[in-house]
Amino acid sequence: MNKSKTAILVIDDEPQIRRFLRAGFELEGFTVREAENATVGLKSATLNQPDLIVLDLGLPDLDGAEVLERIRAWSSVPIIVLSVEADEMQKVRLLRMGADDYVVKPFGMAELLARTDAALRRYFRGVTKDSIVRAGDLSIDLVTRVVTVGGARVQLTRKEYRLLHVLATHAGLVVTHQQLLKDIWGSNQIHNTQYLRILVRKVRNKIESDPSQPRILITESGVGYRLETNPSETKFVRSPVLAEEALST
Amino acid sequence: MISYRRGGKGAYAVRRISQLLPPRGDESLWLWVSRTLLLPLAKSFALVVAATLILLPLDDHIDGQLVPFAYLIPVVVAATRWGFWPAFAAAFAGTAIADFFFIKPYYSFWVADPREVIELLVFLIVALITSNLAARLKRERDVSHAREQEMRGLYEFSRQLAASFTAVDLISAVQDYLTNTMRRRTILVPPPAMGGALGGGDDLPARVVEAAMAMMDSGGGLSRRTLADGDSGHVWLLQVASSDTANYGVIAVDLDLAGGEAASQLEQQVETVLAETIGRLRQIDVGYALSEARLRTQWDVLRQALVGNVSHELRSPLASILGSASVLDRVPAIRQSEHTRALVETVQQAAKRLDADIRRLLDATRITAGGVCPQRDWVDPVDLIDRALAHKGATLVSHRLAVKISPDLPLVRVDGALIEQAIGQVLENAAKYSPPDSLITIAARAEQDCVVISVADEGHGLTVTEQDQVGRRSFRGERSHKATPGSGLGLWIAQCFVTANGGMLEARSQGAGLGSTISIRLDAAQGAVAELVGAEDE
Repeated sequence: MNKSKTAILVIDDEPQIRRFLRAGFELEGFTVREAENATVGLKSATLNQPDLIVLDLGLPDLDGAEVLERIRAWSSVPIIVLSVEADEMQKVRLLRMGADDYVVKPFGMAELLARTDAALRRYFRGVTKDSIVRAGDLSIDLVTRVVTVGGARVQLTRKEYRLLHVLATHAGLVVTHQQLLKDIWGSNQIHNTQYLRILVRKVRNKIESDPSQPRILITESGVGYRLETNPSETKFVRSPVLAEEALST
Repeated sequence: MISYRRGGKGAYAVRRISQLLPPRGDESLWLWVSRTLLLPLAKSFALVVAATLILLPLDDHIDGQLVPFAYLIPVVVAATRWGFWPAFAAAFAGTAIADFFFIKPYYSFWVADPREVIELLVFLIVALITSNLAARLKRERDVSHAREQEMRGLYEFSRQLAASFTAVDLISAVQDYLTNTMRRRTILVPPPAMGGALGGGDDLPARVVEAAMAMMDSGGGLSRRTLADGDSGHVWLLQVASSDTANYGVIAVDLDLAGGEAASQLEQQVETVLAETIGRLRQIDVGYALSEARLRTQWDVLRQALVGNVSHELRSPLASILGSASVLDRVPAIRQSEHTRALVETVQQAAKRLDADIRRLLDATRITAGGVCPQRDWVDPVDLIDRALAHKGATLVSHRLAVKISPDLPLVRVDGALIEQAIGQVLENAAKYSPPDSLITIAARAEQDCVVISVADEGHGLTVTEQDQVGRRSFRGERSHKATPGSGLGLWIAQCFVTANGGMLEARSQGAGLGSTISIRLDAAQGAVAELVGAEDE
């Protein structure tokens, strides 16, 4: 996609946050529009038709969730929510209401850019018609249903493939437990998280180089799972002894 | 309010009860008889004598035929004041005296003139009819007076009930009413936990006390009963004074009557008073619970406002600092220069540390205010460790890290976010209190019905006393006070979060300087993994 034509609408009441978001996005070549409250934000979303909206939840004039709901009433534009609280219930609620992903303040630009990329990629996939999703060594062909790791084909059961399929269609974005449970087992198993935990463990054994330290199939505690499309970008540096120690056990 | 079950007799029933009231307190039977019967008679006679004394000097001036009618005055006065029998006596006494002093022949009961016999008879009949009418009037006045008294007493009582906001006030109000207005000996037998009888219950019959204790023991069974005390012949009415939450004892009322219709009416009346009392007692109890709840809600709102405010006021600027630094970190010009890159790095690290500190303070506030409510769900322990490492990675970079996780760990049912936070605090603590480049080992293994996650370091270690203190608020090893800055909240928070999830946090050390191991024990799903592996797939 052509980033210079990709417009991002930032709805946040704090000028400092808007300022660094503008700088961060423009540095990557995006076009940025700002709105300092929900009213202006909603107007801008309608008039300017942005390709992605970054929405703060703590707006002075309207609850962020309300803004989300109003935009979703007429548009499927990707929305990434900025939330202050690390409240899992709230995150799940927002995702169910149609947010594509969330970032908890304080956050780094790299994290937000990764979410933005993933959301835009998912939004524009229909246009590019690319059926293969890649995450590190892993590649998932959504049409032929072939899954390979480092070129070698991986045998998956139907449910295992279903899990990867759902995550791959949301590559880089979080998918809630409820959604996964519903898509894989049906809506009557929506509370049996333990099935999902075990299934994820089995899939990790097949696709992760070290299943005890997953880099591709990432857990979002209390919320769901994410297929990390850029797994080389680890969030912290691990000391080299790690691998040796892990092997020795 | 008080509602009386009135039979057809209505006010009459009330009057009878008040008339049947026994001698007051220590009054003897003789005194009572003289007060209610002999004294009015004596007074009636005195009135007749007084009338005679007034009439005697006037005898010459008035017509003798009018004299008997002057005696109507004492009769009417006696009838209105003391009732029929004193008036009856006064009528005869008046007739006799009139005859004796004023009708010829004087000073004899003989009547010479037959006309005067008729006059005297007419007087007697009129006197008797008048006294009967006056007495009836008096009786009716008495009844309405008694009713008024009764009503005033009840009104006063219900006012007292309404004004009683504690159970103790209430019980003393009912005791007061029954003792003073209804003149029933009323004693509160307190629950066994509170010791002997109160309110002059020293001479309470042993049978009554026993029955009261039995009623309290039965708990919610029988709440009211009557009991005949064989020795004194008195009937006692016992009422358990308790609400849903508390037991205040048994109210024992001495009905003092062996039986009969009057007794059952009195019993009904006392029962009504007691029922009213118990109703009010429950109200008080509910009111108390409500105000308690309201207070808690207010406190909750205040706490949330405080936590929310601190979170916003402190973390918002930090979000700007961290965000801006992260943008700078991506600017090519800054990345190219080693100096500027290091500066940006420093800003980021310092801001992250500050954020972690604020987070800790918020967590501590939450715990202190009792606001930790774990959202428990099935979690893979592997994820817990992995996420904790991901969060605390930056603080562990100067140490060597070993991860040892047993395969096929059972799942645990905990609040993942809280346990991750706990593991993170333990990891941070290990990094803080052990020298750079030393080894930190994080391990997870299944043990009986638990999953044990442990973090071992090669740091200062702990003495035996310190091992016990780990996990207390603001505990920090003696020696680390000088060496390392810190709030000492970390392990306490970890401990609280683990405990809130039904787990245990323990500290072990071989001794000072030999490193320490902090273990988190979580209840494991029993045999669930094996079952689930089969169940979850086709």
